[in-house]
Amino acid sequence: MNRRHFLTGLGSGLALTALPLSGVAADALMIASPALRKPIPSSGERIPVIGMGSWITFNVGDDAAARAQRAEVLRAFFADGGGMIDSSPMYGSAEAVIGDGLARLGHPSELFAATKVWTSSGDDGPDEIARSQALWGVERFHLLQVHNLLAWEAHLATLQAMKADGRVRYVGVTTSHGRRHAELEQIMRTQPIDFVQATYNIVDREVEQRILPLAAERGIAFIANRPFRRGALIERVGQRPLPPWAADFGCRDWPGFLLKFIVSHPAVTCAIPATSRVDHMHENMRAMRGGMPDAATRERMAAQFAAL
Amino acid sequence: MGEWGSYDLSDLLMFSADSYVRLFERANRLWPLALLLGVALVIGLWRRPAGASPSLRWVLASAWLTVAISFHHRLYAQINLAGEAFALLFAVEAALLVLLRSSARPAHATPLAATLPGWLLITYALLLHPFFWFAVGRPWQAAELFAIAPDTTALVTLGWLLLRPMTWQWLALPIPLIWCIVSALTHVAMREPLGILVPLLALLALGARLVIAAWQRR
Repeated sequence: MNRRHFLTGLGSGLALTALPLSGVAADALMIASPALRKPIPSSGERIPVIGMGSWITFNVGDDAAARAQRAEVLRAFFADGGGMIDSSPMYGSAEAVIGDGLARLGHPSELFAATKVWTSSGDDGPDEIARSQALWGVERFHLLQVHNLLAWEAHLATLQAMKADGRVRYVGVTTSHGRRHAELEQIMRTQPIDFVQATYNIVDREVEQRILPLAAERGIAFIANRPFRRGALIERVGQRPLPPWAADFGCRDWPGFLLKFIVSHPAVTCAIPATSRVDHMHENMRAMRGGMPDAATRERMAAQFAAL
Repeated sequence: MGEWGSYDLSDLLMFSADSYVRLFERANRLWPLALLLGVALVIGLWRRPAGASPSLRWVLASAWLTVAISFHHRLYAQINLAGEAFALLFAVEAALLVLLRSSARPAHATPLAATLPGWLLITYALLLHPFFWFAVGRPWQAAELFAIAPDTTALVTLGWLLLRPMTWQWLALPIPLIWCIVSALTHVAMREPLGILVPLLALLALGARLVIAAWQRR
C-alpha cells in the first residue's frame, strides 16, 4: 500500500464518520482526493491543472547546495501529482537546474516537459532547442513554444515541422504581462497551434475578454503564467484570513484561493506557479484537489480580492 | 520605448536576492587572494599617502581582473545574461588602470584637503561596506570583500582616483561609477533600496572632491 492508497482509505473512513476534521485530517483528505486534470483540446490528453514555472526560482547556476534544494522542490512537485514544467532558454541556468533535478529523481515518467525557443533568428532555433534538450536530459519535449512571440513566423514553421516528424508533440506561443494580445489573437486565429500561454490571475483578467473565448473556440490549450504576479498577490493579502466560504470548494490558504480562481475557468488548461520552496510547492499543488468554484463564486472571489 | 517601457525594473530581474547573495558566499572562497591584494593596497597607500605608489595601479588592476573572472564570468554570468558584459567591462577597467599613468609632477599633486573625500570613500569601502548588508540579515559568509565583490572594488578604486590629480587617469572613473549605478538598480529591483547608497556615496565623494579642489584654486 503506497501513501496515496493509504490516504484514500483514510479519507473514506473519515468521510463516513462525518466528524469535524482536524487540520491534519483535512490535509489527508485533500491529498487523497483526485487531482483535477484537464484535456489538451487538440489531443484529449489530460494533464494536471497545476504545473510549475521556473522563472527566477530555478536560476541558481551551478550552486550545488541550491541545486540539491531545487531537486527537493521537484520531488515535492511530482509526489503531489505534478506534470508540466515550463522553462525557457531566457531563464538563465533554469533549464540546466531542472535537468539536474530530473536526473536526481530518475526522470519521473509523469513529466510533461515544456520549454520555449527564444532567439531573434529563425535559423538559430533548432540549435537552441537541441541545447535545451541536452540541458533537460530529455529525448524530446512534450511542448515547444515561441517565447514572447519573438520571430514567431520562422520558429512556428520549425516547430510545426518538428511536430510532423514526431520530434515534439505540441507547439504553442507565449506572451506575458498582458502584452501583444492583438498579435496573439491573430496567431490563434490563423496558425494550427496546440497551446497558448499568457498572463492570467485574479487581477490581470484581460484574457477573459477575447483570448480565453478564442482558445475555447479554436480548441487551443491555455497556460496561465504569473498566477501570483511574481508573489505580489500573496504579499497583498498579508495576514488577512481567508473568507470562510472558501472552505466550500476545499480552499485552505490564499495560494489555493488564487490558483483555484485561475484553473476553474473553463478555458484554462493549467497554471504554472513558480516557487523555490518545498512547503510552497505543497500549498500550490493542493489547489488542484478538493473541488473548484463555479462561475458565480469566481466573481465573488475576484470581488473579495479587489476589496482587500 | 514601446514595449520595453511597459516593463518594471523588477520584471527584468532574472534571479532572486537569495541567489545573488549566494554569489558572494561562493566567490569568497578566494578570500586569501583578496586578503593579499587588500594588504598590498593598504601598504601602498601607507607608503605614498597621495596614492602615487606605482604598485597601486597594479593592485587595483589585479582586483578588477579578479572580479571580472571569478565573480562576473565564473558566477554571475550563470544567472544573469548580462554577466559576461560585466566581465568585459571590469577587464577593460583593469586595462585602463594599468595604461593610464599619471605624469603629474609633485607641484600638481592633489591638495591635502581635496584628498579627504577619497580617503573617506576608501575607508568606508574597506572597513564598513563589506559588512553593510549584515544589517538586513545577510550571512557573514557573504561579506562583500575588496577584490572579490564588484561594489567594494569599484568604491575603493573611485576613492583612489579621487586621491589622484585630475589627469588622463580620471578616464578610469566612468566604469566604476557606471557599475555603482548598475548595482543600485539591481538592488532596487531586488527590493533592497539601501543599494542606492553605493552610487550615492560615490557621487557625493566625487562632488566633494571637485568642490574642494575648485575652492582651493580660488
